[in-house]
Amino acid sequence: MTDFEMVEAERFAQALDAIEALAEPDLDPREDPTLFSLAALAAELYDTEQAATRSPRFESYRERSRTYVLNRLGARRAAQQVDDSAPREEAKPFFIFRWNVLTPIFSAAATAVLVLAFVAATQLDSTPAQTAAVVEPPAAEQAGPQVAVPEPREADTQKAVPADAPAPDNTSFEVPAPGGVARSPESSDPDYVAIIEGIENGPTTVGPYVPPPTDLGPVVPGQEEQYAARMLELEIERIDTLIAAIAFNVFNDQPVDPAMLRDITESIALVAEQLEAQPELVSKQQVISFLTSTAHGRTLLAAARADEENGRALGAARRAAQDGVVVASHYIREHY
Amino acid sequence: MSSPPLFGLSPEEERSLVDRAKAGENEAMGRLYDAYVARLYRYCLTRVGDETEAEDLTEEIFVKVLGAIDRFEWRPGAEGQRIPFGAWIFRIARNEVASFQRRAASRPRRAEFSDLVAERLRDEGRGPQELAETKLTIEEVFRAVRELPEAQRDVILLRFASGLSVRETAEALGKHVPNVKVLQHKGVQRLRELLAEPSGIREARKS
Repeated sequence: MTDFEMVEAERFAQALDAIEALAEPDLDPREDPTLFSLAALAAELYDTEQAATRSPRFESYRERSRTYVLNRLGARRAAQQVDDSAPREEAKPFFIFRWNVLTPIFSAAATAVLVLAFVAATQLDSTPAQTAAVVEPPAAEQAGPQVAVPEPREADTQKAVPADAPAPDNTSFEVPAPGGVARSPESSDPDYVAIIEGIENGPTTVGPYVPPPTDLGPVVPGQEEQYAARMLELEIERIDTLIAAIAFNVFNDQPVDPAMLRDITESIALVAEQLEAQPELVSKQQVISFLTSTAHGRTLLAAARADEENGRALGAARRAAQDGVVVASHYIREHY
Repeated sequence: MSSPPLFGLSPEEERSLVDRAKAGENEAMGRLYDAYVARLYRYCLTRVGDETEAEDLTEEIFVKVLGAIDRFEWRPGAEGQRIPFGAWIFRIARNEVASFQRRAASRPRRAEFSDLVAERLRDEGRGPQELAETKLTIEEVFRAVRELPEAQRDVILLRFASGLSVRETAEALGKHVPNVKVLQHKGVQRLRELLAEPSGIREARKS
């Protein structure tokens, strides 16, 4: 490198400093045409690069991505805190000791039971007086929607959703039949039983929804992998359950509850992370279930709408579903 | 060299946000995201040339960077100099993009960048004449940047796409400041030559 090159490089750097400070570089085009033209090109480079992030597409991406990134980090931190407080005598697979995941899983399961019971009931009795309404929760309350459940007839809750149920024009998903949402082993929990009995025994209003306290019990030494597999299954079931609940909103042209959007975003992100981090603990059937669910979720979420202030949560959920499809597809390509 | 506040964050604000983010504060992470997302996206877009891939990469880099922020350590800097948090981010970004490109080398590209650029500009409602002119500019510049020798390309991208200062660029690349100044000078010189070449000649040279 010659002294001349060093001097020219320094002068060019000073000209760029001026451009960055939105000032005119101290260069005369007649005395120093080469450096002047380089500075002009540099200014054009700045402008061209800036143009790449001035598009509506980028604005839309930024909104969706921000929510996704922060949700994913929040889920990680929560999981980390749980891991930190758990016993450390042996190595733990990904989902072990993540008690915080369990509560929303059963919350979602119970929500789906409510929704599906309602769908079954309204099929048989569609008089206006008995049409259910989703009541928006108070602004300060983020626990979930209040659902006014109509009086069901006899075994209404066992009715499946008909295959020809009306769907929005641009969707092609199927609503899982109620039979797919079996009572969990935790259904002996008093709160859970109270909610189910309330649905079965007469007109009631349930809500705001409070997730039942529940867990899978302590990990049995030597059965960590089975425990992790069960947790993964629950997470995938949770996604299915949330999809059914969101389908209810879409069918009724209602905004989707932000708590559901956050839950489905978190669940999809957790399963996707498991697929990438510990693929050896995931079965083929689980991956196929996950791919099917996220593909349905992606279509459904594309048709869903949220209140204006929850647009970011909806965007993040859409993004998560898209990512879930990509991760699951990639996994299948790599492993089968 | 002075370091003016960029993107609405002064060095002091950035330092405070980083400390709060290290303590796990979500709002602070959100503000750091806001401050860096456009710069990081431009860096990725110019490197990979595909908007969808650039979006995915940007997101993954943020998850990685903010997820590991508790491992970031301040290094003492001279009075008035911008703190090197940006340098740390782009050091990670550079490695991530390189890793992505290794993985992607065997995969076909999803779409021609020129088509995507045209689509984006149509979104903005520009007329055909302006579309043709602007498309050529953006496409040509991005392609030309990708044709630069690696050392020059790294400097040009960090300086012009990501808005890092010379000092931050030097930190991110592990180079000395005078070296970065020379590389940016040579890089812009080479860009001017590349942009002046008719595209047919450049394509022939590449093949």
